[in-house]
Amino acid sequence: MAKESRTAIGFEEGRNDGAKWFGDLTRSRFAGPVTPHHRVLSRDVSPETLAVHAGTYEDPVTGAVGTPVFQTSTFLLDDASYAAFSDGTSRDVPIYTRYGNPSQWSVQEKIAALEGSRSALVTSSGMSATAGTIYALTNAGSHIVSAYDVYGGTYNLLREDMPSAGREVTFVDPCDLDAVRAAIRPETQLLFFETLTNPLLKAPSVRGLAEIAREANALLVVDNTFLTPVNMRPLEHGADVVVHSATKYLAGHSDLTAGAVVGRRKFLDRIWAQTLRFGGTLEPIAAFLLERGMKTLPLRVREQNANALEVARFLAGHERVAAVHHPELGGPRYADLEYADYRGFGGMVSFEVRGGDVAALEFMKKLRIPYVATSLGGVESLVSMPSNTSHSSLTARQRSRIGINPGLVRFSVGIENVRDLVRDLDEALGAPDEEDMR
Amino acid sequence: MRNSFNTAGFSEVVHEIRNDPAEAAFLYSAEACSSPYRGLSAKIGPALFGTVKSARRFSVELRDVAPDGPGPDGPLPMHLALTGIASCALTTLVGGGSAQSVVFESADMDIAWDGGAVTSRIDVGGVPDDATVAELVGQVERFSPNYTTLTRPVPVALRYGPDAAPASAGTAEGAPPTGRPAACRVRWISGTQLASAPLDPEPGEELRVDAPKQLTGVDWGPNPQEYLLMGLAADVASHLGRCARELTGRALPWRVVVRGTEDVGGLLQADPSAVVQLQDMRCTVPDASGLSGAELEKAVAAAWAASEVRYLIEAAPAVRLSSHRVESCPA
Ligand SMILES: Cc1ncc(COP(=O)(O)O)c(C=O)c1O
Repeated sequence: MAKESRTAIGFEEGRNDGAKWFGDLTRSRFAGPVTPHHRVLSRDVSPETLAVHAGTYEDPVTGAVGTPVFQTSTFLLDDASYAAFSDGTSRDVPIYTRYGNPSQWSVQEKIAALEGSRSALVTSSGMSATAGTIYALTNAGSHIVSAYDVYGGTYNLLREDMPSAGREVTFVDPCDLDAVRAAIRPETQLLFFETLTNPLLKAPSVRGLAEIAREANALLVVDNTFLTPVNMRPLEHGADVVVHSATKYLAGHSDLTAGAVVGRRKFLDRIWAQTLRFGGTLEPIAAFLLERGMKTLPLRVREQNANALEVARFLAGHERVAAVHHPELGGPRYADLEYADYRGFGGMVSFEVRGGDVAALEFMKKLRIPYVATSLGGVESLVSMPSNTSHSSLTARQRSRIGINPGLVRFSVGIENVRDLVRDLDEALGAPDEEDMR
Repeated sequence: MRNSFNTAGFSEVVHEIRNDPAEAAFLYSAEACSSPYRGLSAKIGPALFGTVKSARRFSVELRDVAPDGPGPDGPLPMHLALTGIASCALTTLVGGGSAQSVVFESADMDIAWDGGAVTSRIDVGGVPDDATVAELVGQVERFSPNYTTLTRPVPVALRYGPDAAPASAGTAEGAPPTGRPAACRVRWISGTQLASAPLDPEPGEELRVDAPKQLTGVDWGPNPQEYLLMGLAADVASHLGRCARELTGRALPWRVVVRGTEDVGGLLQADPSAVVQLQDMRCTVPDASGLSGAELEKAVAAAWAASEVRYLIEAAPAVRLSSHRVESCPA
């Protein structure tokens, strides 16, 4: 068993009293924070194994095989704590849970490993991760490019908070790389896009966006909530930072709210500092639940990929369905999609029920297995309509301009038996009547 | 953090650029406008720290440099340049001291340009002995990018006209141009934050200096290099307005853009062979304002020769630096 140590690996090596100048200092940016008790695995290990083992805190006292829940708000102060305060390295010593806690470090290491990175941060919600990241990586006086159909909470942050914070934002179609390029200005500092969008499942080219960001010396931040690292690791395609609503697939059981940020520690340390000032701490108990949920992430997501595809195919063949959005059904929207970059597209399917919103509402009421609820990515199927939930603040005209047509339903397919789900859908859609078909 | 200075952050940059030297290339830019109606102003452009951009919005309204210009009413371009030099020196002093665990009570620098030479004095409080002060000041003389830009000749390339063509007149030599004396009192506050009061001769409104948040600062003001660049751009823009008016009788607006690079491996001594002072300095006058080629050339050459900030950077003028240890006040 590793030597007992409560500080992060690299912390002690970074302490030196004999320096005369900056060039003599020994602290470097390393992975983590993780202690010698956290299990660190090579990123070449398969996702299934990383999901189970990466980051586990191997308790040197009890030998417990699972990470203990470090349910404490504060830690004993010692020499290391005081050194951390005076050198500015307090991310690497457990001092106070808002600053860091071994329960958080465990799950951070698991997420970092799955995304193929060396460092991650967990936060109290996906929005906390997004807000902390955007604030930390931009200055007042900068410019941000994002998508006009980005997740509503993110859109509201960009539209309602950025102007008063001195950041300007331009919204574009994420799949129109020419429009993204045209939006770039000398002061553009950040591009924020989703790897798979809600609810229309647009899949912009991460490589293309990364190239534009690189040319502009801007950072590319992507929200990988809908795909998860099981289906794509955006850092491998050139993204600088990945954010997640861990509330969704990562946790996977619709039983907690959490967020995550992944990337180089150079950026993550600044996002950490921002997040702790905003107060977006993840409670140790929630970190434990997230870590536990993530052990089955690859199994769940693989099942959801397959189930969603089968549901999408069924819906595409149903005469009461006017349109189905799913990348694997192909069509002009996905003509340029590099399918080899994805291992699947997750559990989301969107489709238009003929007869508009009223017919769609009726259809949802008849469903017996999925719950009618917002959110996604859990083991249970959930169904909702963007027009009366996430996109209700838009006018009908604005909705149709971004492709949210009457009757659009968003189906987050869970891990139930897909035959049951299809039968349920079939029965709820029912036979078309004359009125609907017009 | 000791002295509120994030030494860990600087240590991380040292090791980052040892792994990837491209991250040591810092690029700064500034722009100034002199307008017959709107007066003289300067602002910074986005900076690049290796591969990371920092786009902050800072601008300063300035006083015209013309000898018959207004009295104390905002800083002169020379005040910005002196602020840049002294704030860089003090940040280097406090940063270097923090790296060796010195705890400061105060660090102040008076810096004055008398039209031919620079006189400066550093007062350090809280440091235990004179030898430490001497060592810290020695580090400033060797490693401060702006202080070494003052003490070593640093060429500035001049370009102008619609195509921003290189100027043959870009080498002004000989005696320093005549202008106004100027002085500043710069005060270290905390971490990378400083305040500079132009002395005229009474202290004027303070200019705030800080590192960008990408480099452990909090975006409280432009950084020292940006002050020096704004000073140069504003000085040239101001002289252009005057010289063009004298030559052609026309009052015209002028825009001047300045950029320069810093190899931060020099300051940090991450690479002992790296150049410490600013490099690749370039001053561009993109707008021809409708003057003929010959008129423009004359106006630009006259403004260039008259710019004292340009002289300060290019000519390595005589510099006198003294230092003093301030005894701690008994509690
Ligand atoms: C793509 C996406 N990003 C971010 C969020 C925000 O996450 P949270 O609700 O955990 O704050 C959501 C929530 O629905 C989402 O769908």
